[in-house]
Amino acid sequence: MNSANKKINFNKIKIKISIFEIVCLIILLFYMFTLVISFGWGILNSFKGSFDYIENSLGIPKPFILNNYFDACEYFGVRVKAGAGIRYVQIPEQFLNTILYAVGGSLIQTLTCCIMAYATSKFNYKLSKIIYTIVIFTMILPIVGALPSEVQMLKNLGMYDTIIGTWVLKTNFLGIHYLVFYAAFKEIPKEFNEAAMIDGASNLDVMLYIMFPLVKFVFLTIIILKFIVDWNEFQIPLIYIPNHPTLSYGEYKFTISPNNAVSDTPHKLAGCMLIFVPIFILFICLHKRLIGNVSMGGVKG
Amino acid sequence: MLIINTINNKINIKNNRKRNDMIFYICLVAIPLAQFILFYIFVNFNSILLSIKSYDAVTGEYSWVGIKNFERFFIEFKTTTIFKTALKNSLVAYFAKLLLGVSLGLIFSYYIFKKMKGHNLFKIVLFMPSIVSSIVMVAVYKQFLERGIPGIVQVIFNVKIQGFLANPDTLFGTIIFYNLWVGFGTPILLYLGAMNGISDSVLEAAKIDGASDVREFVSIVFPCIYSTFTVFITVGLVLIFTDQLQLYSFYGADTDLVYYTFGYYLYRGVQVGSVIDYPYLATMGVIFTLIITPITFFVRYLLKRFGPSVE
Repeated sequence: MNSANKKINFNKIKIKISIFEIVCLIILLFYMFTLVISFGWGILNSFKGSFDYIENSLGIPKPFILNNYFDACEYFGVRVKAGAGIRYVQIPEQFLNTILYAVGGSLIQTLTCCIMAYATSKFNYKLSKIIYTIVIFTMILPIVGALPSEVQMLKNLGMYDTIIGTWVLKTNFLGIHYLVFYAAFKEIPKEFNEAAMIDGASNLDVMLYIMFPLVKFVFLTIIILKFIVDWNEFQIPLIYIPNHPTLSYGEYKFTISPNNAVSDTPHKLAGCMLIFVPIFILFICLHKRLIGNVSMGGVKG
Repeated sequence: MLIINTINNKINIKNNRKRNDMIFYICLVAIPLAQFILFYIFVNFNSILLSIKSYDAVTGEYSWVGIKNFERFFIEFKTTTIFKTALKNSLVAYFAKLLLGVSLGLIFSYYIFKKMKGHNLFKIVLFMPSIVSSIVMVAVYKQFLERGIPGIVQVIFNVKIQGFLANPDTLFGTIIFYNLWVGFGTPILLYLGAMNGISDSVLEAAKIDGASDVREFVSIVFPCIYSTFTVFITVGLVLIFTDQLQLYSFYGADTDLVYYTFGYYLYRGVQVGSVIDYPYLATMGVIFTLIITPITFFVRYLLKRFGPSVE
């Protein structure tokens, strides 16, 4: 009897799918296919020898060659100026520079946005309104070509080609993340502040132990997004810290390197995978947080 | 007497609190504001000053040259092809991104918002190129187009084709396609955020009225997220003069002149040029800012004036 009912129910099922959904599904599947196939192809070919790559660019490596990765590590060094001479910055030092640049930079910038948003949303001074207006205005006002002037300013301050110089540049509250924090702080009721103040808490206590923990998920999301951007960035280090190469900077130099030992495509692809893998693992672990609900109004934690 | 003392104490406490609040506030905003004054106001003001200066490599000093740099730019624009080409490329790239990138971004966001088939997977897939270094993406894309696709075509159709980047006729289109291909991540996040703010009751009402997906998108969802869309369009206008189309990841500083954009020209000038080039590059920046600022405000006005109403 039960099985008969199931059959009847099964027959009654209608697949509701609109033309819009079908068209989108086809486009999105094609998009995913192009992404997966190109990356899959890239990973496979990073394990091939030069000859195998030319003869068999679509097939499985015969045999799998791990040496491409070891060679990539060996020739990943970037030539930089050191006093009157030159020296090579190898992967460990590039990694250290990346950590200083990306971790330090993302932490400083996120903290700056967070603190500015807290100050301007919770303290009702005229300056707070001016700062908020400045953020909106600078987002709309398009300014082109300030790079030469910025480089000149860092040189004048003696901070050009230093990691500290990049941190100073990141002490910047302008942009959408300020607005995200601002909205998050505005949503917290004033009573939280007042109750803590009555209990004898100082302004610093309220900020550190009550307000900041309430926006910790927003903070975490923004800092990870900024870290990923900074980790991948090579054009800013190329301009501001030319003698302190990061891993992405090293990768850029590696891909245009004319060195015969690593000039073939499998070596170049192996070099790419070296900096792709860590960030890919981070993304897989944190994708739910990273691609949660970000909006102009806030991030839902 | 006791009452007066109590009142005085209360006033003192209030005054102390106000003073403490003010000191704390100043401590919080002082450093970021100083950075803003130095690296936004002063840097941009210095850009204007640089545009009316020239650098003498022999003496190592700047001298005032009035509007000579501006004259040089307009003469070069008239007499050489590089700036005309850069303008054409920048405009083609901007409108391609505007028409295809923005519309597809909106449609994909709606697809995910409506939780249609595989929405969670596609959300990850569409965002993934945003987390991968452009150097890595470009290297894989370049090699796949040059060796992978011609190989696949040969296996399937037994036809030999040239790589898309090796063929000058398809090169620029391929670069624009790449920029579209990797550029959905951030817009989708923001559009989705805006869509999630739409009231469920409005969507329910549309469902009861039997509105199709397209009708619901056009009549309800798009008007509701129109303010986010407006911000995207107006903020994006500056890309006409700043978008590098990731040419640095493709070719470093050696891109062929016929594929230059203004953004690439400006960045390359600072990266491979020297202090001597700074005044002229700053002049270009000032000119572009003067052009794009009124356009941005005008487009913003038009979008607000003629946009769909939420009512």
